[in-house]
Amino acid sequence: MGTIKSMRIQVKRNQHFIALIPLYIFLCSILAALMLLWVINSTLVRILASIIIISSMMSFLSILKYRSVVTKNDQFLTNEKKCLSKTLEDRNTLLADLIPAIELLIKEDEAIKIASNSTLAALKMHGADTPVYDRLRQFANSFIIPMDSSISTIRGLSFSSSATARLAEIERRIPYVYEILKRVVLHTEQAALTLIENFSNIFENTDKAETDAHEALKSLSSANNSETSLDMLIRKSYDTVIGSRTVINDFLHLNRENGERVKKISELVTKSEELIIGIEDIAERSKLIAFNMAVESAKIGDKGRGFKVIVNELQRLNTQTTGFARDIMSIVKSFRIYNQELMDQWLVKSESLTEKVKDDSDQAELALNALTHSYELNGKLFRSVSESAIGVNKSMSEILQSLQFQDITRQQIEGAESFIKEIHEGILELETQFKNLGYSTGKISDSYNTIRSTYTPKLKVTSDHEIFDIIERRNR
Amino acid sequence: MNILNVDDSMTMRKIVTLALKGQGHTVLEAENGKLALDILPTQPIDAIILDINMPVMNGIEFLQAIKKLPVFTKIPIIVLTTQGEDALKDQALSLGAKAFMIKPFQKDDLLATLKKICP
Repeated sequence: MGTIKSMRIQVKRNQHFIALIPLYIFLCSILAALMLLWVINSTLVRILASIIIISSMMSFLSILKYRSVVTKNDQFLTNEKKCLSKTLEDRNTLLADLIPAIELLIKEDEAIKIASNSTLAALKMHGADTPVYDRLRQFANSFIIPMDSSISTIRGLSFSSSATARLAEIERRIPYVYEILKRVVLHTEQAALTLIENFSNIFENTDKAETDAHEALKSLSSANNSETSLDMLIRKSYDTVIGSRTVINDFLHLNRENGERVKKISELVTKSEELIIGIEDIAERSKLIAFNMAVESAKIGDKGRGFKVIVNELQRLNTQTTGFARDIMSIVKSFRIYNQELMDQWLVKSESLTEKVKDDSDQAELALNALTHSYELNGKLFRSVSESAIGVNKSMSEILQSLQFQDITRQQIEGAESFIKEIHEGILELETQFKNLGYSTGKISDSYNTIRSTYTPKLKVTSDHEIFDIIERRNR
Repeated sequence: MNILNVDDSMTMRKIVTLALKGQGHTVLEAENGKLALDILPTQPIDAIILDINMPVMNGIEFLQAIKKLPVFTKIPIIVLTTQGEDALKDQALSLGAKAFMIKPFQKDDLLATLKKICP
């Protein structure tokens, strides 16, 4: 903007200078001619002086023409200033008015340029090769370049008029950018802190799990020879179960042998019964013999008296034998019944007992197998927990390293913000310069509602839509 | 060990605390150099982990301030920052820092550095 202003001032100075110089030249030429007429009394000189006077008058007249153009230019510049002032009130109206004005100004400046070129052409046509004509040529030339500059300046003014409003529009968007960046920092920080809090719990629990698993592994380890270690207890239990199984097998074997023995006893008892029956039979026959002997002894009278004693004794012996046999029979029968009952009960009870003990042993073995399996699984589990804990601890370092990028991102955003801040300050500075040059922001085309409707679809994070309310509240 | 962690970022403070707490250290936190200077006389501190870019009093200002306090000059300081310029590193070390680390740091590196400066 400073360059435009200085150019405008320079154009104005050139115009004043150009406006006054023809008068000086005219006066100087007249004075020079009069001096020549007064000093040199020669016809040739008089003719020459007259030509100079006439030429000067002609130049003066033509340059007066240019002066009027310059004056017009001044008027147009004034109009332009008025038009630009109007921009402050209504940008669109101003643009509508300004563009033809600018075009007119440009046309006028171009006309001045054309007039200057015509002067140069006229001077050339008149064969003007004297110092006076050279001066005039220089004036005309010096007039052309500022006109070019003036035209470009006016075109620049047209741009500046719309740029002020655009700058203001851009400037209005910067607080939204700040707000979004602020939210990015806030949200990433919240997310990082939540992660840290949760990881902190995970790491604490992992440490605890690792310690517990280590202790558990230590107590489970077979390397630990403690009598109370689970490994040792399982081994002992296995030995006990195997021992009891051997005892049961021995017991079953012995039981079977006893059964056989009892069976043999029963057989012997049965045989004894048969023998007793035989004894009874013998006794019955002896009875009959004794009876017959008694009859025969009675027949022989006194001679058979001694024989009768023997017969009586034999009968008594038979009776005793029969009674004795019956008693033994009764005892043997009782013994057989008892033996049978004993054998039956023995077999049933011992079998059920051994079955039960065997079942218990099987159950105990199954339990021990399950316990061993569980022991092995626990060992695996504890080792796995321990290994996982080591893995988690290793991962922790990487997680902590990754989480630091939140702080790094925050600082990167702060760095970006410093750039945006400078851009913001630059825009405000440009706006001030525009104001100093007579331009103002004027009426900004987009309202807060326009910004909201334009950018809402562009903000993909719905919660970021809050920034519109925040900025509007702040500006109110 | 009692370690004072000075950083304006809450995230960084929590990360450093988490990294050190697991090793049995006690970690105290300060948001900037000035608050750290306030804490120093109230607690026995064995080491300081210091950020550079902080509001109110930055890391370099803290180092300059602590240099003037003979009671605390023996406390080993690790500078932990995102700025890795050699000039800054030289300045920090010349002001008494014992180590200079750049973010993001690795937990094991921090622990090793701590062990090195606080044997």
